[in-house]
Amino acid sequence: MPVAVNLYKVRAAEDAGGELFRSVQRQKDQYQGIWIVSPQGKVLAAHHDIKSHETWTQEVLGTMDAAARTFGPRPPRQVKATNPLAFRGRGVQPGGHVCLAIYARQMLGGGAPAGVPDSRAWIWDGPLRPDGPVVIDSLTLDAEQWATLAPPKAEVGTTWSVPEAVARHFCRVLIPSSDQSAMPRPEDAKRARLTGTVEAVEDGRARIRLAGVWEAVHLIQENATRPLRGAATADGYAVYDLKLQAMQSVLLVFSGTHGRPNDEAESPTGAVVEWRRERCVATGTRVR
Amino acid sequence: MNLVRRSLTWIVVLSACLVAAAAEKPAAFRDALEKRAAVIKPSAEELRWQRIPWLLDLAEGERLARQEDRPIFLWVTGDDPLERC
Repeated sequence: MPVAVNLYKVRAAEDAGGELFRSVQRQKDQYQGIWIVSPQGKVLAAHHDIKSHETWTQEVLGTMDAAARTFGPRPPRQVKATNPLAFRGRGVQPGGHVCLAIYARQMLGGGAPAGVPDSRAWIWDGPLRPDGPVVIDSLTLDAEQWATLAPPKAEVGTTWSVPEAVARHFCRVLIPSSDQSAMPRPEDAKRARLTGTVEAVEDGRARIRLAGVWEAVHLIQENATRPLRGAATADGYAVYDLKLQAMQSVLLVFSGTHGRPNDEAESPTGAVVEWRRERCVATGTRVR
Repeated sequence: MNLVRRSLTWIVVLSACLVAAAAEKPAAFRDALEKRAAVIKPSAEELRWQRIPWLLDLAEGERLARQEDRPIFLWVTGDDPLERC
């Protein structure tokens, strides 16, 4: 039974889940990671410290085998594939808020910006390509914030600025670290500007060109000696349905750098923010 | 006369090209943007773990585990495991 939970939420939870987790942690004390637990709440196996990234998958499979040996054989589970984050990057939720899907990465290539020292030029050589794993994230905007991305007039050439208070929320894409302690918050923004321009009106839809620029400095764990800087520009487009008076899709692609402030050793970053009005349709795929 | 006809033909052809170019420009921009996005977004291979029918509620997981008499695979991280992690 695959269950994925946030440590800080589950260990403080007052329900049966919180009670089970605290029992599990008492039986096998580890900060986070994987516990395999019998239906009666007994820890069968656990995994915390990885030996290496190369052996990580095998280590987890070994943990599962150890638990299966202790628990005994069970037939494969027949279950439909489901999406536990059905609104991520899709649809409008009750109350009108939306959850924009975010992907952010450290990148290589793409051409060095001005001022990059020769010793760091190799990082920017070649075509733009991923450097390491992707950070998967999301940004929820309430109905009022979401409405600011819509064009004020459906006339070609109409240009508007999204309020800075809303644009600041996009700062979280600037530093591609999976650890939230490194993630810039809206209040960390030194610059946050997002503008839209209606470039075409056709078939009852306004096609919108988006452009933005952001810069933020975030202190890891509020420690003034551990600042991180991220900056990026973004290009994007959106489609707005004039009859429904509703956004249909949004895509923003960020290109930037991150590192310590005033440090020449900044690295390239890339991020994507995307959303579509239509919801996912369940595939009915069976997984074991 | 030939010169006038040829010039008019060129004007028509040039106008058609300009109209086509103007119409293609937004589409070309969107194509280029989607290509840039594809470089950054995870591949289907990187997202295979999302096909696992994760439960986000441990109490519900415990209930189902008892119902089906099978162990719980409990994945816990300092952030939401399926989100920024």
